[in-house]
Amino acid sequence: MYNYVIKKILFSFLTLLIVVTLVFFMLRAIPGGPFTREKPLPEATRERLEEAYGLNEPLFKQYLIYMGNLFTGDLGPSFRKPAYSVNELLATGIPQTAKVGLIAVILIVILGIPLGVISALKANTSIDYGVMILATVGITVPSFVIGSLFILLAQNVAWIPVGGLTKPISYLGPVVALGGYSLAFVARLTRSSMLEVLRQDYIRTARAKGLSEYKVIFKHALKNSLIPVVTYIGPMIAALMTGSFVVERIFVINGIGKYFTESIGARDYTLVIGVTLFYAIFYIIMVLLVDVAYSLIDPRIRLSK
Amino acid sequence: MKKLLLTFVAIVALFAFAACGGTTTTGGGTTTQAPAAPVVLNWNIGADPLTLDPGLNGASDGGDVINNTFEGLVREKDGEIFPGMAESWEVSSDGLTVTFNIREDAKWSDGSKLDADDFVRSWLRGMDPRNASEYSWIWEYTNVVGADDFVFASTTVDSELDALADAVGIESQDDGATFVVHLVAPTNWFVSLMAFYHFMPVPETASTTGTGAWAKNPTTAISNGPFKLTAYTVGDRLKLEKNEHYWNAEEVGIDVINGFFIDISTTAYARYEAGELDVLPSVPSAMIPGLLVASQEFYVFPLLGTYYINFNLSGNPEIGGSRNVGSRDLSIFYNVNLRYALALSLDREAIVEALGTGAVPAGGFISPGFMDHNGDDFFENTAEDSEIVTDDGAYALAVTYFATAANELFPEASDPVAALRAALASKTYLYNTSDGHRQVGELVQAMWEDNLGFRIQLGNEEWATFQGTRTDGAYDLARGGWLTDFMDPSGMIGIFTQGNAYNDPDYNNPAFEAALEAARTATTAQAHFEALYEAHAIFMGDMPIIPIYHYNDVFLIKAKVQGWSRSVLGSIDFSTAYIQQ
Repeated sequence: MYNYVIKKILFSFLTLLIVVTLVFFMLRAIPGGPFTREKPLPEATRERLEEAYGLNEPLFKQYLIYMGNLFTGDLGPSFRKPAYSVNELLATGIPQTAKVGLIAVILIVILGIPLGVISALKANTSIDYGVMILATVGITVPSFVIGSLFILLAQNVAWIPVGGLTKPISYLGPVVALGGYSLAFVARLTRSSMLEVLRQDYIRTARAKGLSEYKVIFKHALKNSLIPVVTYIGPMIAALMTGSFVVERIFVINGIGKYFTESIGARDYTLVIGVTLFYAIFYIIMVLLVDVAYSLIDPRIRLSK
Repeated sequence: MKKLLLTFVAIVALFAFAACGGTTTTGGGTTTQAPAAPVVLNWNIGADPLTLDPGLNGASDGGDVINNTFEGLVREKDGEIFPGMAESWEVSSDGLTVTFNIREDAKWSDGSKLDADDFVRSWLRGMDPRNASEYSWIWEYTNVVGADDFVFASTTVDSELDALADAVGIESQDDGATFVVHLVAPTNWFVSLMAFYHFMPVPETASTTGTGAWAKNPTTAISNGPFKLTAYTVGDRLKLEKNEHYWNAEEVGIDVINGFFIDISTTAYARYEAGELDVLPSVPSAMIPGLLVASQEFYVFPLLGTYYINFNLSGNPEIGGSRNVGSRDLSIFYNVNLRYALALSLDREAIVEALGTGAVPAGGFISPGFMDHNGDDFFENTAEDSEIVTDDGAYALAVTYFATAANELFPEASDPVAALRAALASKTYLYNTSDGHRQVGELVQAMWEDNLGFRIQLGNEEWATFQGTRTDGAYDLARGGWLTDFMDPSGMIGIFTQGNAYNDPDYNNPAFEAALEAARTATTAQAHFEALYEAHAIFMGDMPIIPIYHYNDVFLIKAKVQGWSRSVLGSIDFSTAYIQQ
């Protein structure tokens, strides 16, 4: 298993290198640039600015310089927030985004999985229908609608603040808007996976040999039904922990989610690569952890082949 | 059981990793707590300003902050000029020399003295190509001796640039007590322009090159206005506090301004309603019609700007330039009667009403607010320069122009009108992706279809791409918008000259340019405005663009906030604001 993990990590670096390279050259290929303005800048001014940011060098040389800096951990200056480096922007934004994302992830796991299990055990009862109707609502209503509803609510209810992360209650809106979909999805996924497992022969065997219902459910059924759920949760954590443009804008959270969209519109080359790289690293780590989790949940899955 | 334990370990591991991301949270989000006693104003600035350096800024959000942290030679409130750093000023009888008397008690926020030397240094910094200020082009419109040569210098050699800087006609006299500016031509808007942020002084610590980072850092952000910056959190908020060294500090009624960067208007509006914000720079457009009727706290201000549609005139032998548009066939737009027909077939009042933003329908290119030598509004005197009316009253006339155009363009066709309709149906109206622009596009499309019987295609491009397309002339018809920065109509129609970076239609009429040049070199206000009236009449006669509406600005300000004002150019001013308890 250690060999497997080490090999994976080495491959991850290759993946990241490809991601950065692709993003770097694709960004340069799209029209416009960081100094495109509603009122176009005079030619001389634009050239000066491009010179200051090294954009006048041949593209490949720019790439080499960028990669050189990247290996020292320097993500470069932001083009559209001139007083700040990308490192500084990420350092300010990531904690805000991660706070909301982490709470959402915890809620999804401690609510979503049990709800799915209960639903499966009480299949085709009113409890099951109730949970599944809620889950369908959660999946179909987009986050900006949930967000807008919260804003509407906040306008009329004094103790719910409108945006910002000033007090504990202010996390309610962003967490629900951010995690609502995934919570509902995890509940549905757990339910269907659990139902599938409960129909298996070995469950019947377990019951036949007189195991308590508790042991049947938690030792035999749940563990196996968690495999697809863990597969989903890994990348989901990466997505939630890197934030959402919509949720961060509606709730005025100073995180990095908004940079994913803003930086492209602004052609802030370095910031685009910065946030992409951050997401890619997070994603790769989560996928690796999911692989490790598989082998722990189900010993039949071996990593070291 | 051991395996179950392992399962839990796996899940905990997932969490532990997630928690690693989480543990760093306590550091970043610290917010500044406003002291309880002082008078506090909570202001939504909108976006996080690009820069707060007066010499480098080119955006309205930054301009709003700078207008409160810095001060130029004068202050402009609602079009009226008030003394600022200059206590008084004189214009010489030939109009070529302006002398500003710097007030004796002018100080920086660190208590040090501010004098004319600071203006000389700051202005040269603004012009200096090495500084790459996004707004340096405005010097072209100041008529300051030598400014143009320095700003648009072709050389990059330091010694040559320094020589050009020395040749700029500005000087500090009487030990910094007077600031003298030499102009190449009388410039009636010069003194009012001095209220604009680009002409405000910067402290000596502001470097000539660089990003202007000093202005966002509370320890280096020395300013000379009613307020000084005391905190800045990127992407979140800033804090301004009263500057006790400001000459007019006793009139400053607010102690602390919390400025927020909330760029989504619905959320900002909800916070305003909840009492968390006192000033909003924009409101959700759906709210505007209701607010216009019901709210005492809602203000609509005209802006000096126009929303219009560009015809692509490149290659037009009469009034087009020689921009290379490849194989694009634009010949039908060369026909002036077709341009008239399209311009007259729009009901501008219906468009403005549908948008619901309180904009003013445009019959010409110059927006309301420019006073001529007789004190008349240029906008009103130019309403007759074309046959455009603001409602649907010119529809019938448009149809006759359309028929004339069809006969001229397709004389051979059995049904010229049908041929012209077919030709237009293959043309595209291009705008940059946005709900508001799409709405205008759809209304224009429907109006032309109803009245002239063809359906233009609509296209949209993401903003940065659109800009390139429009500049390169890779379009048939394209959305345009222009806001000017100084109080003279020449700053508006002046963009439609050959060589100007904003001449998107590639309009090229020597008679028009001669009239503008006459206005620029005129020695009396009367001659200046007469030439401008002539230029506007020529322009509208050629109709290289279709004016739609004049921009406006909206504000929502709590009734308790009193004494605030706004400049005609659009910057908000809290220098004499106070809160009525």
